[in-house]
Amino acid sequence: MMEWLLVILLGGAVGLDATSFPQAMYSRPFVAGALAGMLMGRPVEGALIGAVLEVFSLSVLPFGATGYPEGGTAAVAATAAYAAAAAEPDASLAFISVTLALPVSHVSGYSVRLLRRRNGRAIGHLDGVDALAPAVVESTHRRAIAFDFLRGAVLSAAGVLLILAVLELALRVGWQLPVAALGVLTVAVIMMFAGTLAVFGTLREQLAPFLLGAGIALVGVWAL
Amino acid sequence: MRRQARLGKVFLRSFGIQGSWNFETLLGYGFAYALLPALRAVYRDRPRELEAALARHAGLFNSHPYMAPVALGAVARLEVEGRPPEVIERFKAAVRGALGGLGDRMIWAGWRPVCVLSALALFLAGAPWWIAVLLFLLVYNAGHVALRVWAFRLGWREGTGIAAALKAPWIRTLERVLHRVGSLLLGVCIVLAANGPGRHLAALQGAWIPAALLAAGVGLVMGARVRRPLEVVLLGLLGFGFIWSTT
Repeated sequence: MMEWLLVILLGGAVGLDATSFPQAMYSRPFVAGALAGMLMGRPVEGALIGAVLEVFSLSVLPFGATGYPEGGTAAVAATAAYAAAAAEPDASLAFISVTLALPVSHVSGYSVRLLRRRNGRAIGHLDGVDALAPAVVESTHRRAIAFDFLRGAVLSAAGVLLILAVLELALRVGWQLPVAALGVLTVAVIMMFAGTLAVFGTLREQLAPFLLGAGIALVGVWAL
Repeated sequence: MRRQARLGKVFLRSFGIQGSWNFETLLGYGFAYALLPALRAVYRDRPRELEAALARHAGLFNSHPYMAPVALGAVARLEVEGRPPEVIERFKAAVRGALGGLGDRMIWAGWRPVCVLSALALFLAGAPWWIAVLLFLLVYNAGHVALRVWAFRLGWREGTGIAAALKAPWIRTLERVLHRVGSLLLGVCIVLAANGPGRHLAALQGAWIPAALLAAGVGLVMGARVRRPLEVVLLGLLGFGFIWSTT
């Protein structure tokens, strides 16, 4: 019971860190997955699930007022659900958890937009106002931060319930990872890594350092 | 309260400046919240003027959150100097685009992915998970906090004269270097992922190798747009697995 409480608190903290406070990036899926895994006693698998979700989040840039999927809370939910369902390392259940975390991250992103609309309504008293009491500003701002924490916690808990329900169904029907699925997931990760190059500039600008990095890694892998 | 302590409070509050982010004033309300300790000192015995100043500062404002301390430091200084509200508003309107764009390019599209990719490369190469996670948090936040401190000091020291400092050539150079390093790390990570991440999974073999090369090519051309189709493929595979298991 205590571990679930800690997971939900972690979800709240992760949701809060992504935008509101303190943006120290423990909300990155890789970190959030590893931390959730640690709480559930499965840190390596948590880090693996988080790493895959991280690759899907690398090209998500929170520029301006754009909406974006939130990978951190999804990583907490996926890892906690996986750890609860899988008695031992299980590639099939890990695949299901990662795959379901992707739509969960979209729902989580949508909840951020809803919260921002709520914040807009909460400060509606600004219209045409030329004086604002300090106590009002402080309480409104702190309440918004508290709502964000609550949002992260609720989203993580809901994500766990959803993913866990599917995992239990999978265990009941004897869902087996199609032989190709792990290969497809690895190829998908490679495609997402390559798709992230656009974050750093145009293909023409960045192809040389990209190929240099691949070359260095190939030599390293071959040598070791 | 001493001035240093008040400025320290403004700086600390800058970490939560996006707490009340909304589509009407963006992070304007958080800006007023963060600036409040400085405003309280400036308008110590003038509550009406304090409330008026807060209302002014709670209006539309935007910036990258890590660069917002530049504006907070500069505006705190302008308020302490007793500059007219119109001058301060003009200043805020003038810097918000620059602070947003610079932070987006340098942090969201530079420092952050470089740190994340370094941690992933370590993990994929077989380093223990906690070393990759701990190093990421330490290194990323060393840069994060250092940038905020530099930004706040710059704003406080230069006031309205921050434009020249923000156009310094070293900033453009740093951006370029971060982008190159990020691209290099992407190349490293792709090879490590194909080689079997951290010995937790098997390396790609046989027909999967040309498939991975093709995928990398498609990713390079399509950029971030590959995410949605990939999600659909993975969800389709998941559904197929259920149908396969129940028939």
